[in-house]
Amino acid sequence: MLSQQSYSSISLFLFFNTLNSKSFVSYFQKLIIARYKLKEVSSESHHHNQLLKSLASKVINHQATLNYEEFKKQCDLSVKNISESHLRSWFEVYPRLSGAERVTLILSLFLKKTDAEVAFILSVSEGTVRYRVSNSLLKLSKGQK
Amino acid sequence: MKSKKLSPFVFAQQTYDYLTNQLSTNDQEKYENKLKVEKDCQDHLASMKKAYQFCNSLSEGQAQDIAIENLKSYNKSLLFYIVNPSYIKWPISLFAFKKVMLALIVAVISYTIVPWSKLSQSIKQKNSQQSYKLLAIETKKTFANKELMAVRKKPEGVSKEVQELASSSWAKKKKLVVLKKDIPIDDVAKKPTKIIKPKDLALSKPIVQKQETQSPHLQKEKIETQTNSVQKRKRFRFYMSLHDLDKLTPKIVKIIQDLGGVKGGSVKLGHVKPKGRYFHIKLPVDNRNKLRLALLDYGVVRVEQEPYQVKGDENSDRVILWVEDLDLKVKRLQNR
Repeated sequence: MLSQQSYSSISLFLFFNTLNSKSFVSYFQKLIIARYKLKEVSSESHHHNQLLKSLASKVINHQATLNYEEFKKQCDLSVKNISESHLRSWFEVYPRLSGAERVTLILSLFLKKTDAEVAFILSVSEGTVRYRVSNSLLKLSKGQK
Repeated sequence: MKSKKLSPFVFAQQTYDYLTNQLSTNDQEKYENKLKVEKDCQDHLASMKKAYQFCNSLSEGQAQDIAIENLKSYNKSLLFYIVNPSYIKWPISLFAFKKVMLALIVAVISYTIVPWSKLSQSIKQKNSQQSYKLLAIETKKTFANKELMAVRKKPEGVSKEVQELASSSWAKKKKLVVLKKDIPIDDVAKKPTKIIKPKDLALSKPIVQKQETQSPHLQKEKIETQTNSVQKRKRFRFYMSLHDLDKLTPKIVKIIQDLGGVKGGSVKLGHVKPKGRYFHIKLPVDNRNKLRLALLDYGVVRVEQEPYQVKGDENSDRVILWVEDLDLKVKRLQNR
């Protein structure tokens, strides 16, 4: 059983990745299926990371084929007409990052996961995690100029 | 001089490590030296800092609210409660089941209000009228797997429809046979076909009757199967462990023979095997328990039963008695 905090963390991950409530719910349903595939897990944090791992691969695979125009259409009006400047800028910055970079950035900086945890979730080395985050920050900084 | 060694690419890559304080002291010194010398690097660091702060601040505030709202909307779904039953809070969670509840209410109301019996009768009438139009009899088992269909010509009323049907391409495909009035339907029935005979076509509710005929070959088979009928019985296995089997075996054989038992298998009673003696006995039904009681005088009898199929009318029990030779067993154990 996952705690409310874990659920909100996963929902945040999905929200930043999809910006679309429909796909958000569909991903949550996939999450349920993924939960049942998981067998015995030691702790809740490990369970949480396992779920994020299964979700991340699905998100990356899905977004690899995503066109920006299609994405714009899919995004909710609530997200497009958002008042907060930070979120609006994320909406603008979103297409500049590749799927893998985006997921790494969200996990590392938004959800404040450690490099080791992100490496486990994405099945990459810690160096790759740091490279991806650094690279995406570079892209963001260039975009913000 | 040290700062010149650090290329712009490496500087850019190390910025994130610098911001998170993960550079070694040597690298940090190099990085800061370059930062002091070049203004571009200072601008780069400033923009990176801004981006880093932006990312850190993004997860707080409105994003959190929207995500939690989405989560709440998901929480209201039925699927969520099915998976997480501990999250159910009565009566708020009932809203998730509103579709199910609504469907149940509609079903109950429709069941009580709508006169289903009358409706079903009217539907049956319609169906039966339609079925009259197709007075065709399909057969699956026919000679050489050919489908034979017999259509009884309707006396009055719908006969035109039947004729039209019989002349249609569908009927030709299905090899429909339209019987003339002078051919009795019993002649067709001699062939192994499944025939439906409309009893009274003039009735408003037509009655459809099924007749099954069998070929002589099939009848013969049936008779054979009746004689070779298989009865399901139980076979009993008695297990014993005794000393001095050479002396006891004739006594056991005598007990069996006194109770009307004969050998059931191909070998004689008390057949010698490497580890003991084997008795396959055909015993009258009532004497099985008597045999067990008689054997109890010599030692413990363990009884097991298993399903067994008997061919024909056999009124006897099958008992398999296995007597283990304890003398041989002791010898075997000593040799080890």
